[in-house]
Amino acid sequence: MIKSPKIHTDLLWDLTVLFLGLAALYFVSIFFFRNRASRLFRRRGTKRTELAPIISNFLFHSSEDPKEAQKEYVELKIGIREYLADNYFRKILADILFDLQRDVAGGTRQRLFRLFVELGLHHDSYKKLKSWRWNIVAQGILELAQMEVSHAFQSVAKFINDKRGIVRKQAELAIVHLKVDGINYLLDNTKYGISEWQQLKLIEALESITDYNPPRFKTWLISENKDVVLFSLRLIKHYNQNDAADSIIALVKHKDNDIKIAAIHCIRDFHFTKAMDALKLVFAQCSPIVKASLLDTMGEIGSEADLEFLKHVARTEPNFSIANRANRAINTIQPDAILPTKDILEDADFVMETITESPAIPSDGEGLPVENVEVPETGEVIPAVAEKVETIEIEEIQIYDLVEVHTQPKEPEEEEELSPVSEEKSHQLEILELEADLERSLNFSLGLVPVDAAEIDETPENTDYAEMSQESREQLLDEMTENGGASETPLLEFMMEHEEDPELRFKAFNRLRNTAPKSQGPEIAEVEAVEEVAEIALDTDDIGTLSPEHSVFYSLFEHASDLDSKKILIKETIAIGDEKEIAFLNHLAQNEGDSIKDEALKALKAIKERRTNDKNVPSTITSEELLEDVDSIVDEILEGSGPDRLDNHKRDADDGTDPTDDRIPLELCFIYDELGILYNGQREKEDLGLNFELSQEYMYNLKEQG
Amino acid sequence: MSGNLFEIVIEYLNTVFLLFSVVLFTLLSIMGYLSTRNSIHYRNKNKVGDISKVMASPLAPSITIIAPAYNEGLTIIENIRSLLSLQYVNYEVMVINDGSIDDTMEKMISAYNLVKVTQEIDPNWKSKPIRGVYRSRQASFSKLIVIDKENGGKSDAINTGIYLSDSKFVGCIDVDCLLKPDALLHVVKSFYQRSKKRVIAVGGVIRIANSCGISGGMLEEIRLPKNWLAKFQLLEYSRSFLLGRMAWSRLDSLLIISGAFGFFDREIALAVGGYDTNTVGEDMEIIFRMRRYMHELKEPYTIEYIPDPLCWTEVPEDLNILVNQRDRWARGNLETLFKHKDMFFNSKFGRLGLISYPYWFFYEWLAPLMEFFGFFTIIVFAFTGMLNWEFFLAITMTIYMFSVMFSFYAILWDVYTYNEYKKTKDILTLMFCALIEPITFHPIIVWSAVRGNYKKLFRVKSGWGSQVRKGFAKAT
Repeated sequence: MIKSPKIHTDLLWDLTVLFLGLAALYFVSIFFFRNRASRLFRRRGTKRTELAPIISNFLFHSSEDPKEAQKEYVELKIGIREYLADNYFRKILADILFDLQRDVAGGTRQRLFRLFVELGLHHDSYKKLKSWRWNIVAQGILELAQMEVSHAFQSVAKFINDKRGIVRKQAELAIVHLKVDGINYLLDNTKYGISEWQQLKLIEALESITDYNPPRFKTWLISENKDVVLFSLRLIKHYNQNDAADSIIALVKHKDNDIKIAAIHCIRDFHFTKAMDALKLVFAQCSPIVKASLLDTMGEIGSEADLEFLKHVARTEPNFSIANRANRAINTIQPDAILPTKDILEDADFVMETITESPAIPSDGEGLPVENVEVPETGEVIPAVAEKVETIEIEEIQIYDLVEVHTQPKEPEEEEELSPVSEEKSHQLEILELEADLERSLNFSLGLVPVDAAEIDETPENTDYAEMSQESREQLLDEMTENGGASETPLLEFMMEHEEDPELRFKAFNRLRNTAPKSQGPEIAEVEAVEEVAEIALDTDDIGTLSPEHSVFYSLFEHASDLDSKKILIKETIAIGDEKEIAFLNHLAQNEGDSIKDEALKALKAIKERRTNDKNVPSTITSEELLEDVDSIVDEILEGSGPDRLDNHKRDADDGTDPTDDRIPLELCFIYDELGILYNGQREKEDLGLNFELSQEYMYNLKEQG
Repeated sequence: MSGNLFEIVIEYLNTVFLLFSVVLFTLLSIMGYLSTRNSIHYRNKNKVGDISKVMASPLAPSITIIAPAYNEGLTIIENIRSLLSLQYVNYEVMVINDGSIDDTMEKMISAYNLVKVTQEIDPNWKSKPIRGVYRSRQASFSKLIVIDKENGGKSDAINTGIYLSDSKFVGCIDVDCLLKPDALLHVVKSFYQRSKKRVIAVGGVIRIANSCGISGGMLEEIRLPKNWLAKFQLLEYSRSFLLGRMAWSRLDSLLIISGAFGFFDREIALAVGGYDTNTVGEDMEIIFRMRRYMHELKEPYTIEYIPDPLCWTEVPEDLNILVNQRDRWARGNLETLFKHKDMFFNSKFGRLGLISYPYWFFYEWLAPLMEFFGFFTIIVFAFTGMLNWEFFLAITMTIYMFSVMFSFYAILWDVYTYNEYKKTKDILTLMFCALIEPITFHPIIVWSAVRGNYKKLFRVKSGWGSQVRKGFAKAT
C-alpha cells in the first residue's frame, strides 16, 4: 500500500522562510537593478557631455588651425593618453565613437575611424575576440567591423565557420564590411547555412559599400552549400546579372523549394524564354507555392505555343488558386482568351428592350435625327444575344456615322478600304470602334455634337452673321447671352473662329465655354455646370440655387478619413470659404452629428458675417489707387514705419475689431507677394509665424525701377 | 473496516496531492531557470545589429496582418490607422468584417474611401460567404484590404483572410491590439533567423494597454492600469509570458500562441486547414495541428517566441467579462486536449508528447479542478475534525510564499529586461498585487475554469461571450 510520506511541519516552515527570503531578495534586487540602471545612465551621460568637446576637437582638428588651437589639440592628446589607462573611460570613449559613427559621413567618418585606432581602442575589441563568452566575441567583431579596422579581416574571418551561431553571423557580416571582396571569401569558405535574415543583412552590408562592383555570382551556383546557391541566385537577381541562363534554368529542377522559386524569379525577371520547357517539365512535382510562381512566370514570358499547356493546367488542376493562376497566365499571353463565366446568364435569359423612340433626341428638337432604328414590335422577345447585338449595332452605327459625318468628313480612301470587307465583317469592325468610343459617342448623341465648321457655314444664320455690322453682331451676342441656350453653340463656334473683333471673339468664347459642358463628357459637364451655377449665384446673390456639391470642400469632406480631418476642413471654410460654402455648411448642420454640426454652424455664422461686411467694402480698386497704395507702403518701409504698418494689419486681424480691414484686393496681393511682404495676420499664422522685413537697399532699387 | 478504508483513501489522496504539489513547484522552478537563461540569451543576441535597416530590403518577405472585426465601430478607424503605420514595406492589412451588425463596415468605407473590387474565390472554400472585397481609392491606404463576409466567428474570419492572402506569412491579431511600429521587423527576423529549421509560427508577449496613453493609434505613454482587475491580470500576464512561455520556447515546446498576436507560415497554416471553427480554443488548437503536421512530414521545424513588448491590448475590467473569458479559455483548453489526446505521453511526438502535453493536461487543465476540490476537502476535514490545523497553516504559508516569490521573480525579470513601468509606485503596486493575488484574484480564475469545465463536460451551450471596448485613453 502506498503511504504518503510524513512531512514535518518544521520542514514546511523552513520552506516558507526560504521562499520568504527569496521574495525579499527579489524585492531588493528589483530596486537595486533599477537604481543601478539609472545611476549608470546618469554617469554615462555626464561622461559623454564631458568628452564630447574633446572628441569634436580631435575630429575637426586641422594642421592649418591657428597656433592656439594647435596647442590645445596637443595638450588634449597628451591629456587623453593619461585617461586611457582607465578601463571605464576607454569603454565610455569607445561607446561615444560607436554612436557617433552612425551619424557622421565622409571625411569626418574616416577621421573617426582613424581616431579609434590611434587611441588604441581597437585593442580592446581584439581582446574581446579571445573571450570564452559568445556575446563578448560577437561584440568585439561588431566593433571592429563598425569602426572599419580593415587589418582585422584575418582575425575576424576565422570565425565564419564558428559553431556558435551569433559569432558566425557577426563574422560573416564583418568580413563583408571590412573588405570589398569579403563576400567572395564568405561564399567560397562558409560551411554553415546562411539564414534568410542573414542574407537580408548581407545584402544591406553590400549596399552600404560605395561604388561596389559585384563579382559574377554565377560562380557560386555550383556550390555544395544550398544556402550559398540560394543567396547567389538572389544576388544575381539583385544585381541584374543575366549571364547564367543555363545554370539558373537547371536550378529550377532543384529539390529545395526556395531555390526553385529564386531561380523562377530570375527566369521571369531576365525573360529567359528558353526556360519554358524546363518550367513545364517540373510543374507537376511542385508544391502549390512553386506552382503559383511558375504560372506567373509562364504568363510573363510565355507565348501562344504555351497556351495548350496552360489550358491543360487550368482544366485539370484541382487547386482552385492554381487553376485560377493558369487562367490568368493564359489571359496575360492572349488577352481575353478566357472570359468571365461566373454569374453570367444564358443568352436565352435576355429579353430585348423595345425601343419606341430614341432617347438621344434632345427635347428642343434640334438634336440629331436617328434614322434606321429597328423598332421591334411591342412584346417581341429577342431570342439571342447575337440578334440583340445586331439590333444595337444598327443603332450605334447610326450614332457613329453621324459623329463621323459631322466631325470628320469621311475620306474616300476610308470608304475604299471598307468597301471590300463583307457586310458582316464591316459591322464587326464598326462595333469594335464603337466599343472604344461608345461613351463618347453617346455623349455626342445625347448632347450637342461639335459641328463641323463647313456645315455651319452653310446655315443661313452663319451666312447672315458674316454680313452683319459690328454693332449688330454685338447686339446678337448680348441677346444670346441673355436668352441663348445650347442651340447657339454652332453659331458661337463660328464666331469664335471667324470674328475679327477680339473683344467679341472673347465674349463668344466665354459664352461658348458656359454652354460647352453640355456637349462634352459628363464629368466635365458636371463640374463646369457647377461652376457656372455658382458664378450665376454669386452674380445674382442667389445662394439658394447652390447645392452642397458646389463647395470645393464637399469632395474633400467626403474623402476625409476621420472626424478630426473633417473638423479641420470646416475650420478652413471660415478662413477661405465664401458663398459657395453656405449650402455645404447648411447641409452639414442638418445631416451630420453634433460635433460636426456645431463646427458647421460656427463656420456658417462666420461666413455670413464676413459676407455682410464685404458688401460694405468697395469690391474693386482702380490701378491708380493700387499704385498709390504700393508707393505708400514702400515709402513707409523706407521711413522705417513699414513693419509697424504690417504689424497694424496683423493687430487688426488679431483684435477682430474689423475683419474686413485685412482684406485687400487681389491685385495688391500679387504685388505684395512679388515684393515678399507678409501683409495678413491670418496668413502669417498659417505660414508658421515666419516674419521678415525687406532690406532698404532692395526697396530703393524697387522705387528707382518703379 | 469502513474507517480503515476511509483512511486508505485519505492516504492516497494525500499522496496524490503531495506529488502534484511537489512536481508543480519543481516545474515552476525549472521554468524560472529556463526563462532566465532564454531571456539573457535573447538579450545578448539582439544587442548586436540594427533591425530597422532591413525594413525595405528587396528580400523582405510579404506579410498580411489579418484582423477580424465584429461590431468594432467604436474603435475600428483608429485601430486600422495604427496597423497601417507599421515600419515595414512589404505588408498589407486585411480587416475582415465578420458580419458586424453595427456601423463597422460603413465607417471603414467612409473613412478609408473603399471601393469594391473583384476577386476570384474558390467556390469550394469552406467559410461563410464573402460579400465583397474592398480596397481604398487613396494611394495612402493601398496597404488596406477589407473583406466583408457573413458572420462565422473569429476562426472563420481568420481562415478567410489566410485563404485570400497572397503573402508568405500571415499575422492573426485582434483588431483592437496596438502593435509597436517595429513589430513586423521582429516577426520577420524570427521567421528568417534559422537556417536549419523551418519556423512555422511566431508568437509574442501581450502587454496590457489599459490606462496607457494612446495618440494617433500609437502607444505614447505606458501606465499601470487603474482598475484592480487589470492590475492583477498584468501581473498574471507577466508571469505567464515572461516566465512560462519563455521557458517553453527554450524547450521548443510552446503549445500556444496568443490569438491576439500570432504569425504563421501561410503555406503550413493552409496545409492544416487553418483555424478550427468548432472550438473556442482555436489559437492553441492550430499550434497542436501544425506541430503534428510537421512531425508527420518529418521536417525540422520550430515555433519562435518574441519576448519584446510588441503587442498591447485591453484586458477586461469587468468581473463578468473576465469570468466569461476564462471560462472560454478553460473550455478551449479541454477541447484541444481532448481532440489531440493521442499525444498524451506519446514518444512519437517527442517533447511535445512527453512534456508539453502532460504539463498542459495536469497543470493547465487539471490544476484548477484539484484546487477547487481540495478547497472543499479542507472544509470537510475541518468540519469532521480531521484537519491538522498546524500542518494546514504551515503548508498554506509555504504555498502562499512560493506563489509570492514566483510573482516577485516575474516582476524582477520584467524590470531587468524591459523596465516598462518607471515609477516606483507602480512597482510597489504590482508587488502588493502579488501579495494579495492568491487570496483575491486567483480564486476567481479557479472558479472560472471550473465553470468552463462544467459547461463543457455537461454540454451547457455557451459561446464566446462579449468584450466591451472602452477605447484607449488619449496620451496626455
